[in-house]
Amino acid sequence: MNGSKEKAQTSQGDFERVVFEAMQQGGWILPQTVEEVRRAEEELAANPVQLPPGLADPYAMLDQPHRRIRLGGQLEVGRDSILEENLAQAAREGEGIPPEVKEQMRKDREAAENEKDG
Amino acid sequence: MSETKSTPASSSEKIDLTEDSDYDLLEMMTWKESDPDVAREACAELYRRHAKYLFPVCRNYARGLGGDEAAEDLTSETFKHVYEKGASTFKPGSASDPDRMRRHVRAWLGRIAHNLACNAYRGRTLQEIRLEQDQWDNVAEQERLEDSESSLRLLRLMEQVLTERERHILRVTAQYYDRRKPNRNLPDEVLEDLGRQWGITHENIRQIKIRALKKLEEAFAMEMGGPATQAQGAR
Repeated sequence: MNGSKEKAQTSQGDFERVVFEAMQQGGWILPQTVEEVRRAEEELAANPVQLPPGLADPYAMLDQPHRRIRLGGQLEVGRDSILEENLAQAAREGEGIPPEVKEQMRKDREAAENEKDG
Repeated sequence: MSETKSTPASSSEKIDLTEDSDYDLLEMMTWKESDPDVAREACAELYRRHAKYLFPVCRNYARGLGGDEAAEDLTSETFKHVYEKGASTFKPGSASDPDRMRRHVRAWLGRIAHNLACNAYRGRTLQEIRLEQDQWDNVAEQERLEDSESSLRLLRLMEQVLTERERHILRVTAQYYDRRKPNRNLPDEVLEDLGRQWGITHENIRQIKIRALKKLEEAFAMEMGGPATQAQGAR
């Protein structure tokens, strides 16, 4: 590896750590060490949050069936965005969309619609 | 530990575990076969102590990713996992100080919630989780942005300058970032799931991540009033 490439990688790695730490401070990464928990507890002490009614009873929590964790609701929008981006790129490059890509897009669209319906 | 722990309880008997330590409660939760009433009450007591911590941190985490509903799901599923199988994988530390013990247990709960969230994000089920002492206790290695205002600016910039795909890829890859091994590659299954979600190759994911970091670094440097190389000096 030459010197400049190595330096560029180091710089990227340093900034990645900066981004990681910012996400941690912003709560985008769950606290997983004693020190991270201590900081989170300090912040919560300043801004206490009540448990919602659905979490108030520990026995009800134990007795209820498993929940599907509804994380990532925005991803469906992203999937459509990618389709649009692919279409736009194909149009810009003046190329037709290959049949297999069209077929995959159709399947993705159907899957997304089924998920919404479900 | 109170005497109720070693006494099999009938369903009509009131079990009081409020004086027992978190480590003891987790041990009692492994008695589901031999003493289900005590195991159940131990889980309820652990829940009463820690749900009011776990829910807000999950809520913070789930902001923009499903909101309060997702935070409720994550909190509930974390405790259910602990009750059903997680407690047997817990390794008590040597902490006798109650604050430290509480934070150890909360770090472990956070680790379970983190893994549940990552897997839910990727449509997977949870594998067994073990948290070794050097993972929860690595205080000496902890660093943070001294200026929390800089952190907030950086997070706001992520919303402003990155596309949704870039944000998602950065956020998912950050869940696997290890500051002790910053150059560690993403696990193959994560690359596969991301690739499938966005219809791109593993190499594309790497390139998108690099490009996103570069865009973010440049925008951050502009905000901080200098060239990109100074962005890291903001720490």
